[in-house]
Amino acid sequence: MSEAATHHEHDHHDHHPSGISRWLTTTNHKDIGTMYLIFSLIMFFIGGTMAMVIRAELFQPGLQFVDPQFFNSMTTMHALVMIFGAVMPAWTGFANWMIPMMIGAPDMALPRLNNWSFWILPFAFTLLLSTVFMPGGGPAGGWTMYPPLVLQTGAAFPFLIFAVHFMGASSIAGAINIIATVFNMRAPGMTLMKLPLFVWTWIITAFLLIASIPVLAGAVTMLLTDKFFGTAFFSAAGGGDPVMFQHIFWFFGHPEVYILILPAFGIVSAIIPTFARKPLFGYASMVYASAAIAFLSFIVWAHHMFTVGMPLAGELFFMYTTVLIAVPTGVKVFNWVATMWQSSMTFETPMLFAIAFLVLFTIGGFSGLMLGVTPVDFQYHDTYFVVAHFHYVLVTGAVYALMAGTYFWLPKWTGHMYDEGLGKLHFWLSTISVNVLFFPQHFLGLAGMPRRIPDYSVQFADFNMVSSIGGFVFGLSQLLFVVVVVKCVKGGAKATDQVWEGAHGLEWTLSSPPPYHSFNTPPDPATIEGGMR
Amino acid sequence: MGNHPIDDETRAAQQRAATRTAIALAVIAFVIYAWVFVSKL
Repeated sequence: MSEAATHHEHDHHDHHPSGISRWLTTTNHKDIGTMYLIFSLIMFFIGGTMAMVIRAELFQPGLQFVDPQFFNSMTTMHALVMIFGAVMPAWTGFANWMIPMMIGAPDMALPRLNNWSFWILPFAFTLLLSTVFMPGGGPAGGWTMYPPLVLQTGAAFPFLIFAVHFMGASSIAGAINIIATVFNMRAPGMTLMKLPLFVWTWIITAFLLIASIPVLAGAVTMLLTDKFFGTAFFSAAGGGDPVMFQHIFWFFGHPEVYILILPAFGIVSAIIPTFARKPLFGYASMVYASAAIAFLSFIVWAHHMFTVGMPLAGELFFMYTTVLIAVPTGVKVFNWVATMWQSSMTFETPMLFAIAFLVLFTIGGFSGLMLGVTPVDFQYHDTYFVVAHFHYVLVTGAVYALMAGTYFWLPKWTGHMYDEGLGKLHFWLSTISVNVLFFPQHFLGLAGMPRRIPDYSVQFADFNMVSSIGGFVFGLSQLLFVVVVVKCVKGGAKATDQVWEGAHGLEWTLSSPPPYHSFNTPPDPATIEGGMR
Repeated sequence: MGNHPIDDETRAAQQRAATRTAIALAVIAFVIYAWVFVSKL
């Protein structure tokens, strides 16, 4: 009996409230996944608008559009919105949609917690975004919230701290749910080493979240008590140590980088074998490499602080461990290339985004290696080279994988094929413009342009203008993505259950769109393949 | 081997195990938070 037919028998389980109460009270993993993804898309556009303000101000030297205080709040809020509001919720949305279907479970293990995890986020970001309209403006001391600067924030300060706490609570609850689901709800026959890599990378991400987000929460609670309750954790005048905040923050901050990118590795590991029509090369080594990256991410944090000053032994330790991350990351890159080697590739939009990810993320990885070398970092620190590096990793890395994953699974989610022509147009416009946007920033940084400034010396004018033009085109190109998604949700050619010729995995055995509850009856263990992706 | 529905007892056992996992992870998260804060007092 096909899965679609099996689940037809369970239609009587599919009753759910309609209208707004469906979305407020839903405990269904697909509904919650959809809400996460819509929320994330809205945040992408809010954070993107802030980026447009930044690039407009930097279009030419001199002050054009905004005052320096507002510019600083834009750089701070852009980072907070994109990291905590756009990329992290997007991954949780993908996890909600895909993990139960990939492991053969009917839903997430803790559906009410799942609903709560999502609905915290709109409150958190209402708190955060409302600060822009407050006396003194929004937080402007950088997303890293270093004291003593951040303690000069006006009325926005407690809102910032509580927003960060709420975002953290949401992330931890989501991570707990994912681990509880994968460890307890897998279908019979779905052993750990048969899990799709997207599930593996998410389990590792979830452990990173549980270990690192409480550290951030501890740090911002201490900021709160320093500001309002007379403590001096980070005040040198009171016997505290402001540098201690940087250590605590980056002990969270570096694992956070891998929280943002590990699920991307999982998605690319699903897409490349599908369109190469070959099993993933080196499945087990991909799992171990992900775990190795996660472990190393906890012992490299001070590479963000080389210029703060530390003993030589500390500099050497953090340089060596940082450079060591290139080994497991290289294993992944070589495995993806080996998967494509002598394969029968086709280049549909998800594959285009996945290949662009592979090339451009690797460029970001190389500039990361350069920054990890202590004496060289003294030259690059706090310049636009750093801005170029982390945008290659996070935009052409994490965001490109999100785009790839959306195009890959959109036909499964909606039951319709998306417009391939528009999808490819979106890809090419994005890929050309994103390089026009970020590549010149390497040169600006190497020439000495500092980050987080609203004005600059005339020697940096040309590359800034080029970068801004790339930024405007990239920003506008993303409207095409919305058009493609909306068109696909509304209609289009009917998608088959398997959707892609080379697709393997349990989610493709379900109908397109899948039934409201995915696997009330567990899948036949004989249909569970291992090590494909 | 074909599809076998999971009975209510197995499903309830899965739910109990998931709840135990969640409580253990929440305790770990809270201990880390408290340790960061308390160790700097």
